[in-house]
Amino acid sequence: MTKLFKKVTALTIALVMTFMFFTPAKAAMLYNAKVTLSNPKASDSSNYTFNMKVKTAGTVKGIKMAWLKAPSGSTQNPTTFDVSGGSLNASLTGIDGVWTLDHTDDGTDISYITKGAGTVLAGDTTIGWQLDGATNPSISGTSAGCSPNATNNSAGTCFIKITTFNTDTLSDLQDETPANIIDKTVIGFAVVSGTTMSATVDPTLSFTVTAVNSGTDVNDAGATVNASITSTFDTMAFGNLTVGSPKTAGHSLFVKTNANNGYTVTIRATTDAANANGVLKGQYAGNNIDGFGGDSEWTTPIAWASPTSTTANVVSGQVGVNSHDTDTVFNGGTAALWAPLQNASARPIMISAGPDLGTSATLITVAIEVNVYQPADVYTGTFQYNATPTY
Amino acid sequence: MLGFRIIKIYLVFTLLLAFMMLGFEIAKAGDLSSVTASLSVISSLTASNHTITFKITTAGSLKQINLIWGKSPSDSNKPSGLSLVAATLSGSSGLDGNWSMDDSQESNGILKLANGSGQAFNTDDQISVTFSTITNAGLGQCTTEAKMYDNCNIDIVTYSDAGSSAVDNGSITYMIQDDPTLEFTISGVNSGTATNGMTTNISTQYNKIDFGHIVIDDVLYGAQKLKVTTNAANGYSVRAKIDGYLQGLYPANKIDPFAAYNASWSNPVAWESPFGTDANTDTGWIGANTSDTRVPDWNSASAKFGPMSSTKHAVMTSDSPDSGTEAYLTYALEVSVLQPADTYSGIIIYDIVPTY
Repeated sequence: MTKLFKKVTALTIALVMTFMFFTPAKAAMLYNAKVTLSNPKASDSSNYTFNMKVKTAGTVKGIKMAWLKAPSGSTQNPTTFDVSGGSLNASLTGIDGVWTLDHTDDGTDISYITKGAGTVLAGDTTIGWQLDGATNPSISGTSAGCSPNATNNSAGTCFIKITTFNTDTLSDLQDETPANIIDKTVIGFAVVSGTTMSATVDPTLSFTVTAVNSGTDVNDAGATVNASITSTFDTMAFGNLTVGSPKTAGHSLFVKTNANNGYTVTIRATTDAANANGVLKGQYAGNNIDGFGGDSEWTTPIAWASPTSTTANVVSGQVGVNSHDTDTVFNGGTAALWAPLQNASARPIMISAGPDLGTSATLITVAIEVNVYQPADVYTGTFQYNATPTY
Repeated sequence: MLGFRIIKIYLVFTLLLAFMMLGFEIAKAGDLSSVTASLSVISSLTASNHTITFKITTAGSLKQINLIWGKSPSDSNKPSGLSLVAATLSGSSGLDGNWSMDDSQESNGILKLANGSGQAFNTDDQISVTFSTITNAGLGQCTTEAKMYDNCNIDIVTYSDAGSSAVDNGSITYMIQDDPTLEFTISGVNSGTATNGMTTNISTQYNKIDFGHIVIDDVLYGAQKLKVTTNAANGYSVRAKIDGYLQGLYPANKIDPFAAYNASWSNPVAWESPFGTDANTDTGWIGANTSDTRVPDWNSASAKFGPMSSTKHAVMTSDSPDSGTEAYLTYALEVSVLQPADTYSGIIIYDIVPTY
């Protein structure tokens, strides 16, 4: 009787335990689910970062991801999507340990990550993982890619069905055996065409010559030399010259350019004077006024000195040039010195290694002096500036 | 002695059986059993056939069966989006031919089946009824908010008379669920369009923004229109960036992100001309403005700009589903005379991340 009693008791307890603690699992929905593409451009390489919350408590051993063209009613995958070269990033959220990416069904755009021991998850736990190195689908209304929006091909939409399982057995994941499904969801994502933005910055150059008034300090080397006359942008009328008394005039030069390699402004006389060094010519043929000094002065400018020649029209009068641009030969100790205005050569009087806003002027000074051997006459001439940018 | 032992056995067995009944609820008088509900269509706010099946517990004659579509087992109020106004009894089993549907209380979520003559039932008799053209509730109207699904409820009460003497009752929870939807559209905007405090002076396309030949010290405005339609229960974010820089054909030439004093995406400011003194360093600027006031820090940003760079910045956001909001993203571009002559280009990338 005692044995019978024990058997009945044991059987009853077993039945009680069974009905008390066995609750058949019902699949529920993953929620707060999203996927972020590191590069959403259609057909480009991208990482897919998944993030969601589980609804049902349980031990997750397998997660299945199926890329689809539609959220339901069809298993068609976007055939241009490619995860065959993908890998599972080591960074995981909520699911611990070592998970393995299975490529068995890459051909139908289905991926699995599995872990034999699984991860025990409470309901409402956040989980996340990342697949690296997939190739995005194209944008296409065919089976090739993600369906474009109703307006244009700026973006296409695809879907991913995500299912968590209590098994890591591939066949159960492939068959989606109901008893093995814990939670599931379907989420949408978009790939985009990208927008090309373009703009052309044209080369710019603005060169301005402006007048300098009489009395303006036209020498920046400390010793003040005031302009003798008021110039205009296209004239320097020195008027009557007194033997032995130099006169000066100035121009302010502005250059505005985006030439990335800067520019050079040169000065050159264009007078068809009687001799090669003449830069001003008289009304009487043979009368001319020469440049102050020679070629060497364009290497090393010299201090102004009165002409000493005793031969008429041969350096009995002289015209010199000075620039305030210290990027030229007029810098440091030669800042206040002079070089000849020349017909033969265009000489740099303003230099920049880069672009210029055009807000700062460079002052150019022209000086003239004659001695007693310079014939009386009315002398005229021309010179030109030439601004050459390098883009 | 033997009798005492037998009594002990029966006592233990009874106690254990009672314990079992506490832990595992067996059918008792008054509770319908094997109650199920299935829907032909589970999408929210969509017409569906609802089939409810249950088994009789208390034998006897029944003259009325009430079915109450409610939010939960503890809340029998009709979900606002659920409609029984067009419901018809399209099929049944286990009921004789004398039953008819009474929808006089459909607005309260109640359909009644009435049989004036009454029908006799035995315990475990199964009844199945199908109602067609019931409009499902909307998501969030029953028990679950901010999800792509909801759990709603149907209560069933049987009566031995015309609705006064209840015999059995039952309750079943069913799920409605929506498929995810997402449509993202980028469109071009014509020149002369007013966008959040600016007027564009170039025309754009969905895949091209060409500022053309830029006039030094002049600001050019070009816009694109973004539109999002999605039922993502927790909304979405649209972000934009330039893939790298606006780069010249000569790699060293670039146009920088808008960098006026204190300007950032979280602090958009009025447009200022680029002030850099060295070529390719703040001698040209590209900035952007979003008209979506839901974006943090952009709720009052008319004619203001933030930098457009290789960092993704939110240009549209929502914390709930969207039925098609449109927003302008306006780009501003200006270069100073120090910006090297070149042809500059870059790729704008938008991404949208819905959360279901």
